[in-house]
Amino acid sequence: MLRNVIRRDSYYDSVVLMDLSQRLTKLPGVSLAAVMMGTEVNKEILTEAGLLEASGKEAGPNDLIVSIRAEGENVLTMALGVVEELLVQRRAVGHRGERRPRTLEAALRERPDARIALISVPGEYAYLESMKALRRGLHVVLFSDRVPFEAELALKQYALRRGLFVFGPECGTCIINGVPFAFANRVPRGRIGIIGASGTGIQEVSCLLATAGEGISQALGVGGRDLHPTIGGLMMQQAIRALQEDPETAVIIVLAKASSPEIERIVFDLLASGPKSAVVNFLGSTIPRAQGTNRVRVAQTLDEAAVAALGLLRGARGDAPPFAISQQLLSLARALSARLDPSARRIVALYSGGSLVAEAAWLLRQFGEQVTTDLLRGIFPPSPTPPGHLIIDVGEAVYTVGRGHPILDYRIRTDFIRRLNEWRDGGILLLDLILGLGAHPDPASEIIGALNDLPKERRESLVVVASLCGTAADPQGLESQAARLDAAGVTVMPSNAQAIRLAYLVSRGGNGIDPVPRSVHESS
Amino acid sequence: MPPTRILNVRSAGASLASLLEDSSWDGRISARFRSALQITGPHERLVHLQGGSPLVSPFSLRIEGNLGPIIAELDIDEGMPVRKEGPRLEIAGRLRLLLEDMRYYRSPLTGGVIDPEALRLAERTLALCVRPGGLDAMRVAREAAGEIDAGLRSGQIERVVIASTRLVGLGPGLTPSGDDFLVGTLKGLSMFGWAQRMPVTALAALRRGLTPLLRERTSKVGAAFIGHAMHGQFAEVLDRAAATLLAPAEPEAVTSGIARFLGQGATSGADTARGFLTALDACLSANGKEQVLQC
Repeated sequence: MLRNVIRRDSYYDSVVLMDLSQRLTKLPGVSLAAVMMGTEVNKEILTEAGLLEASGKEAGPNDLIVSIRAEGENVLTMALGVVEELLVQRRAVGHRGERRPRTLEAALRERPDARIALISVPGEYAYLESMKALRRGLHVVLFSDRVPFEAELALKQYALRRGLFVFGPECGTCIINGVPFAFANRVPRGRIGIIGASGTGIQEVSCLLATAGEGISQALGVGGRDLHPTIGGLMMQQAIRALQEDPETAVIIVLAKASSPEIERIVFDLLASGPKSAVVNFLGSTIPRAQGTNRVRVAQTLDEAAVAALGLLRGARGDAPPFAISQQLLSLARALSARLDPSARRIVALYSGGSLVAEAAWLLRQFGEQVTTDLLRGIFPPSPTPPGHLIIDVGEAVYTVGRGHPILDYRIRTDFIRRLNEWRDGGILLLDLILGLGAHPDPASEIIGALNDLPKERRESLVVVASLCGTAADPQGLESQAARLDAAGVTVMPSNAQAIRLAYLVSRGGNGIDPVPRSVHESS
Repeated sequence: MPPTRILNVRSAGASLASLLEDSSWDGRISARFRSALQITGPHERLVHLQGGSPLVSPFSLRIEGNLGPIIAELDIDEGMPVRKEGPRLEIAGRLRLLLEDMRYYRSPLTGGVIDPEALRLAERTLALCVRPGGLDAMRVAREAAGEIDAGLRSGQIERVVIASTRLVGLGPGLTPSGDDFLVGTLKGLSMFGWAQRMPVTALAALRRGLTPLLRERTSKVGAAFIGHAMHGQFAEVLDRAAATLLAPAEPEAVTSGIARFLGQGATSGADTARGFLTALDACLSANGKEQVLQC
């Protein structure tokens, strides 16, 4: 059943037209849809595609043609409803849309009680806007990217003198007094405070705690470069002192990628000299677990940090590796590896979380594996084939040009997945799916859709392992996302580290290997 | 009736000069977008009224700040009258635009050198877009773009013109993707107009070949973009992106210039960038790939 909707002499934002086209195409029962101006060449194309009916032939170059081929009247009615919604109703909403303050001053006139400003302007303007907020006595959550290093340092030095915080940049997660900022999950309030230099690290740990029934007091994302020697952990140190004085925080977790030994020592000593129990995870740090004390534990992975904090909170020792590789995991790995082409045991990891990338690279290297974490010119499949396993952080700036962050926008990952058909070396696909506020509303559908586009033979030989970072209370629903992935043949693991362990075991055939990381040997 | 708001126009595309310097005329709002208005003036000439910076078309008028909330607040809609009277534009008795302090923006006659490395960076930025433009999904468009590329490299101008006529009005978008690609190609050729014979010849041939087709073959907006481009006038945002390719190539500037340009519309930025880089690459290739090229 074919229907053409013609809107005479009509102009719409091209973004609206693209959105309409995509939404129509995705409707169940719609086999083809096109949205085009009625130029002669476009009408020829629509005719060739069997998408032009008599009314469409009458359209001129300034008329918009919406063409829909659907299975039945009901589907067509639904599709026409989408057309109405996007081309008529949306315009009306935008027309009389609510007024929002356009400046910080106007926002403060409306909310003089505000204490925190979320700044999300392009990086080159971030200093100016952040400084305006700090001068008015507001804490700043800085969500901008590409903030110049010297600007970040200046802002943080100023904030420190005023007793204020600058959270971020390069870290898009904060939960302050139960209020989430930017990317965050719906986690319960509780007694564990998290301070992180990384957004996804905070999300991973807070979700693991939530799944274990524990909540957080505060989650403070101090910025991916805060522990750089030039900045010296200014906000990290201030945040530690704040949580040490916070009566609602019983245990503090500190998460960061490895920094300089001096900075790591400053942070560790600050925690050790304070009144509260703590867990520190400097991913890839040289500080061995053995240097931990009864009150300040050293965790080597994010899941280990969560379990250690739970242990401290609940009075257990809290230093056991939380997800030790079990016989069950080995059995699962053996079963999955049986599907693999023996010549294609390479892991291809497509990650949206920077900390999760770092964790994957570090853990695989601990297993003695060779890892490549950069693609030549960003081209996938890579040529020439890089050595070892391949871990790609699609949140890097080169991949986010012209689109949203991959936590929200799955196009780059789904495109790479489809291209796996051209590159048979990668037999194990490893993914992180971040749920929660600000994230994609249905990541499972995106991944499943891309996997289903692979030829059957390629799909069946591909082992897909994913970790889901989320909670049952998140809008996407942790359980339903996991169930749908599972039904599509994706093996879902409870943490990123555990997904990496499984992928590693699958790559080794799940047989005759010692799966315990070297670092665990060293400390036991 | 809401009170009349008075705003200063800050800049306008130079190609609007004759229209804005006419003492009086009547027009109408022909399209309302989320944060812009399209005015149709005498002889069906288009004026795009926008906020922010820079100018996103060669026929744009720019006010300071964001126009979106003003459009909503004043309830300005399609079909409303626009009256040009002396140095001001009156829109439906609700918005008055003052033209006295306005400056005209004219696309620069670019001078400098194109560094192949800068071009590679720009191409990489474009390649990293998963679905960079509307042309990608259309075989006929890809073939035509390939023909333009081959024609420019080999100096077969007639081949370029024939392929270009196939692109006019082709593809999705308010400005069809084919039109966007052609505007980019024209920009690339314009940059070399000073230094090489081939681009000058190609520009003249394209003007002759495309002008008679525009009215019938594409939308008014697409025709306006191509029409202005054939006379060397482009969107300021495209000119800025192009300027980042002039040596010395600063990777950050190139990536950020092209990236900002790609944000234009849903697919227009990417299609235009593709046409632009195709033309530059072909000109460089015709002159020896690894040479920095004066333009």
